Amino acid sequence: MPERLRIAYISPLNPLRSGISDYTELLLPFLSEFFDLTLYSDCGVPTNPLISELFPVYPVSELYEHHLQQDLRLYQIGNSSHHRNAFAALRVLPGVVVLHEPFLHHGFYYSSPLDYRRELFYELGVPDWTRFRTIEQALLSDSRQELMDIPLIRRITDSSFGILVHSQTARRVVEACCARSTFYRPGFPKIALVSQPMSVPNSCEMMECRANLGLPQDAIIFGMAGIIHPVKEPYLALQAFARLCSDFPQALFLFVGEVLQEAGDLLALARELGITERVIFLGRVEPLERLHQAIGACDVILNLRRTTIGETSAIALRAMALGKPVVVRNTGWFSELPDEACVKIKPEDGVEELATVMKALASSPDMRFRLGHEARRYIKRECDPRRVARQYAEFLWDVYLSIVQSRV
Amino acid sequence: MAIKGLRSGNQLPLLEEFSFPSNVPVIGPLISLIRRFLYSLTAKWAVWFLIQQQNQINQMIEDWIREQEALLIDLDRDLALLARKVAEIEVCQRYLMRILKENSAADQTQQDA
Repeated sequence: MPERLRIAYISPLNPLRSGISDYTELLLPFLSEFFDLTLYSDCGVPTNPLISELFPVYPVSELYEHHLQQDLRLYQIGNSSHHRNAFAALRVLPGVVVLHEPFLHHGFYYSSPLDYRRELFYELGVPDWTRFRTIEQALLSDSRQELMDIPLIRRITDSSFGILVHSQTARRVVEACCARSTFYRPGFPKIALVSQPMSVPNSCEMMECRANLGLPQDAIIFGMAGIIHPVKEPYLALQAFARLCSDFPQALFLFVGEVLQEAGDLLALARELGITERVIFLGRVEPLERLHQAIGACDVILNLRRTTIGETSAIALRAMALGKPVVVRNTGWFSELPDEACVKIKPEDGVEELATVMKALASSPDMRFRLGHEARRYIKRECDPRRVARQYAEFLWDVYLSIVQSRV
Repeated sequence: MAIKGLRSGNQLPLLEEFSFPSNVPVIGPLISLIRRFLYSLTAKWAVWFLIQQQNQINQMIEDWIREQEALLIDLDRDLALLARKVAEIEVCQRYLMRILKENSAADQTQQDA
């Protein structure tokens, strides 16, 4: 057996703005302890100098030339158009796929509407144009719930040697898709669950973070971080926040991240609720240290989802790694987080219930400390990048050996 | 000749006769009537025949396209399976190449010794 496998690692990298870019850059140094890695990314020159220093980096299109040079291909696939060329390569050069969310509608559609239709045909079989039009309309209006039973991953489940996911929720979706496949064989492809890697930064001193950002030291600050998309329910969060403002006159709400146009006019809502001076928009926060500072300045982070597509949330994990209490909905991957490490509201809960939870957290520093402490412990235990890299290594070797042993 | 709306979401539209509208004020309906009369006298039966014939041709083409679509989907699925098989064989090929290389290197070392 070869001592080390040569792996073609296909993923977005910074400067491509994607959670998967950060994920990959965190994981690569640890993964390189187990494998010889060649990177394929359409990022141009990687922003992180360490990446270009440690690894050869090629455009994804070079994979077609190099495909006989590596033992296995490892694709990092998510629901965005950053994966356009990886989707194309996957059709002819399958390998092991890390599915960051088992739902690829937006990724395919915004990569190429023609390819999107091809994947719909592949998934659904003989085309029914009425249904296709309904699906496209649901996609364009971002009605994710209507699309959940067509995850658009069937080609991946049919052609991949192995699939890695980050949650039981995602695993169930992938397994259901495998079971529907024409080529279904029990145990193939291999599916495994690995934790999402997250480094635990040195605990940010809240006072210092606030001083750096010019925020008051005595405020109770609720934060929402990452890309502010309607599925994160910023409207609901602001409405709930408005309800506790009279009891906590020093409370503030901090949006740490780019607010997407689809999220609506949050400033207008704040004005309508009479909390304009209490809501702060920081916009996109870079670099990572500054993001840590901004999250570190908050007392509580809200990370809600109205519809989850089986994704994990790097921002939730980052906040937990910083020892912040996080409020999530009890749905999808979020429901798999330990109860003692975050606060969960029910999937159907509204403003009233969220406001109650926020009030409880605002009035109890002990509760916040306890949750934050447990959250940090959880991240240290489960999301250690070294541990995740080992899980990757075990899985990739398992896949490799099963292929070789079945044929040689 | 105009095209009717879609028969259903899945089917091509049917051809239909032109209805000879007129926008001329007051005598418009009369003009329309005269045109319809002349049309029914001179061309209606031939046009009907052609419409029917064209609809049949369209139906045949539609059926053929549907068949091709279904076939393409099957081929695409077969392609996915074949891509996986080829990739598996390539994995084994690279494995054997490595073994061969290692063995040759070992033989060479032995010979040199």
